[in-house]
Amino acid sequence: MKITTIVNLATFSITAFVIGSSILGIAVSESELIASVKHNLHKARTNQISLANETMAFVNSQSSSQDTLVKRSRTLSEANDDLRDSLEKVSAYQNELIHSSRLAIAASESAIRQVDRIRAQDAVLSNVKVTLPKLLRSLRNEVGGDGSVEYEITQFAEIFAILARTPSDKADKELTDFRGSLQALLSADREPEIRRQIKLAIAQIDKVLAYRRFQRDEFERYLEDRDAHVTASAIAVAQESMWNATQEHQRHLRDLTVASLALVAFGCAGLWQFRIQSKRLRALNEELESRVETRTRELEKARRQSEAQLNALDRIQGRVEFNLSGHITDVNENYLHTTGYAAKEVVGQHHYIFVSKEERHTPRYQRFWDRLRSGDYLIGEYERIAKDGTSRWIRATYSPVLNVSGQVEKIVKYATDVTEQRAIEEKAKVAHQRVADLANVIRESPNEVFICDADTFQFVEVNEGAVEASGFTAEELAIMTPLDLNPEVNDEESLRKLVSPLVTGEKKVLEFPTTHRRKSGEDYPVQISLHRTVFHGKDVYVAFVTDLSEMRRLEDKLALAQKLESIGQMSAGIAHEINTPMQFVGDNIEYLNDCSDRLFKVVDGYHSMLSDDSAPSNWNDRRDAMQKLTRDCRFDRIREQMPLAIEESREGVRRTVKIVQAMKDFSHPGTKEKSPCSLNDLIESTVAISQNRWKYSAELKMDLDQNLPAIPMLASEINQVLLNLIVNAGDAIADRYDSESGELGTISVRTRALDEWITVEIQDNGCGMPESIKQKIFDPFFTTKEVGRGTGQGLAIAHGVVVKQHEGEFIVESEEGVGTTFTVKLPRCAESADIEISAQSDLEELVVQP
Amino acid sequence: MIHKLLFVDDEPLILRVIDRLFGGEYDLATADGGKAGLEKLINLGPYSVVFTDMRMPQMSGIEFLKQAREISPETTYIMLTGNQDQETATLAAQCQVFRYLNKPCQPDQIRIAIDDAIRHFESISEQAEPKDVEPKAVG
Repeated sequence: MKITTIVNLATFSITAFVIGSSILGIAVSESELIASVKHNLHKARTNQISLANETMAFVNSQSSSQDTLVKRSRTLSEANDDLRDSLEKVSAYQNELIHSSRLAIAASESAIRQVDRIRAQDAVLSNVKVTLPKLLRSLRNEVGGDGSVEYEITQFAEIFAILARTPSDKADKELTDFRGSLQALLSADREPEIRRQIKLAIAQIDKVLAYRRFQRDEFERYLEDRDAHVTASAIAVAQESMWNATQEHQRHLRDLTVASLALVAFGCAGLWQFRIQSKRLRALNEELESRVETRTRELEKARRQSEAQLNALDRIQGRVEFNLSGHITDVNENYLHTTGYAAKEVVGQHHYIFVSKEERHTPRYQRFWDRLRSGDYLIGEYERIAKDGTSRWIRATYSPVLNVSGQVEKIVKYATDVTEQRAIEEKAKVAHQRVADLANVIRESPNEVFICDADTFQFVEVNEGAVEASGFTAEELAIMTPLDLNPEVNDEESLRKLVSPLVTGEKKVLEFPTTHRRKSGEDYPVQISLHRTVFHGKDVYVAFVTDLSEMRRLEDKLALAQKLESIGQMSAGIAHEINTPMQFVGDNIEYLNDCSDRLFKVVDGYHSMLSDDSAPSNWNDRRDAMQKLTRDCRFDRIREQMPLAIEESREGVRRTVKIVQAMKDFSHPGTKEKSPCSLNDLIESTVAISQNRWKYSAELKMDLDQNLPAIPMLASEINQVLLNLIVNAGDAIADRYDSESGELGTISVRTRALDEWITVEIQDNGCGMPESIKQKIFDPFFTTKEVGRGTGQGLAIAHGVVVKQHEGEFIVESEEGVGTTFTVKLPRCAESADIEISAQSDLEELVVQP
Repeated sequence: MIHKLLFVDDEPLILRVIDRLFGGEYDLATADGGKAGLEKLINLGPYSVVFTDMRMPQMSGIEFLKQAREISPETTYIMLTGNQDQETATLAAQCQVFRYLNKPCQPDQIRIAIDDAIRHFESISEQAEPKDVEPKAVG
């Protein structure tokens, strides 16, 4: 009985202890809970206030920064994020508040639950006391019996759970027994699964037993302690006080319940208040959200706009993204269009495919990627290879994109195809270069280029040729005008008159020969080509000046050559013309010599007749002798022929002198200055020396105007012209009348004095010429004569002499088979120049015989 | 045998002085052009020696020689010309003239030429005669 009491007491003690400690724990957790709730509420309130303040401040700052936000559209998204963060913060505070409230509620509920649990445990304990032996009994029965093992184990699990909470030796013993019966079960033949389950159960029981042993040891130590301090009487007191304590505990428990309820009420009030706050916060939150939403919408709009811009940009600009190894991760249509690839052909490929094979392996290309990987931003123009192998030029920016930790994540390239632009630029560059080169060519040209102001005539630009030729420096020329260079133009007025056709637009270009004077004072002939244009925004005249010195020299040489040539051609004829009179002059001298011999014989005869006294003869004998002598000497014939012989000799000498004189006149070297000459005289000497060229085929009729005034001319040059025309006329006739017919043609030479001109007309009735030849007769080196007979220079030079040197006219009329007429018109100068000069020729009037 | 001489030249003064110089010594005729010369050859020939000028109006010396040879092949022809060019000399050589004399030519040289020509004419005639006779002798 006593043992049972002790055991019961102990059991109760344990229970009381458990309960006490539970209540104590609850109390502790209660006060903590209250403090925590209080603290949380306070924290929630301060949070709420600070949140409201923060919110207001934030809202204020938001609205104040709104303008800034609008301005700084680029940072809008960040601001938005801030806003979101703030909102989240608010939400977090809110949640915290809710959580705190919940904690308060939970704490209250848990306090109530603790009280319930204490009650429930009491009930369980008493229940266990009743049910455990019953259960164990039935368990043993069932285990011993032939029931389902699975059911046994399930039951066992429940019992075990209860047993685990039942601190009694009996329970230990029962457990040990149960273990034993399980062990026994194991020894029997069982299926492996069941064996495993049984083993597991045994292990569990072992574990429980071990635990219980540990608890029991603890309890025994407690009991020993208690035994040491508490006497058996004290146990009763303790029992008493325990009861009291229990009573008190129960009171406490009631109070606690009340307190818990109050706590719950308080919690609820807090909760309610919190709800109000929450509502306000929510309203605030909603407002914020709506503002955020508005802002977000605005931002969204801005984003869409910038996206649209980006899209637009994407369309007009190539974009390629590379990873760090240089492989393409994305590419837009524009760039594909530029390179001619399809997206699938390039994505995943290395940047290599856009680069020429040569460049891929260059250190430069290596550097290019090294720099990009190191985060450098590259911009420039690059040559890239399209799919078809053609080269494209892009203007590109390569921008590395950094991740949050500041490392290069990828590289984005924006590129614009500038191939065409470059081609255009290249063309423009080439064109520009050409213009520059051309300007250079003109500047360095040895031909003189002068540019002078259209108003002041002052030179505004001259080239190197102009400086070289004039002898003046460019600086000196800069303050000069054409008047300073041209001795033929004396005043500005005549210069204005000269350029007037350019001013009126009558002519685009003026070309004229003139003279320039060098700094040294030396004059030189020039050909000027003058036009009007605009230079540096000013009206100017541009003169291209060609030095004619060399050309003049060559022209002179050529004229001389032609002259010598015609003299050469003439010489054979001239020789003939001289040889013929020399023949009969010589013969006549021979005859006269013979005559003189015979005359002397006659004279000597007479002399001897008169002086010889030794042989006196009568008169008759002497007369007979003399008659015989004169007859022998053919004196009568001498008397008849001698005067004729003398006269004919004179004629021969006269002809020779004349031809020599004509030749001298003709081949006179001539002066550079024009001098008054009689055209008729020139014609006569020319006819004389040329007669051998025409007299066998033509007769020459001269019809010379005796009132022809002498006019200034270059005699030698005009002689040359006349000779050419007469020889041509003779040749034309010879071509028409061959020697067989024996007919003679006619050359007519006429001179006339007109009002403004004096003219000479040389007409032949020779073969004439067709239009095709007529057009070319003044061309140098054009000839219809066989090789060796003409050089084709005659008429070209004649034309130059008449038109250029004498400002005359040269007219040709010709009809095939009828004849040709050349008319040379020389201008009569002012009356003062019309000096009548007497026929200075000491030769007699020329009679030309065919 | 009296040898007859003919001088053809377009220069009358030459013809007159020739006549003056040699008219006494030879049976000499003159013609002032090719045409007149050919007429004399036909009407007054045969002439042993014929002198001709080269350059003459209407008919040149060469043309005259060609026609004269047809009329009188046995005559000895001499050219006396004022032309001193190679071309005339070549043409004269082609016409097989006996002598080619340049004006001015000394009267003595003309005389030598006349005498040489007469001898040449005589030698030609002697060779030619048997040819004419031979067939008769055979026949």
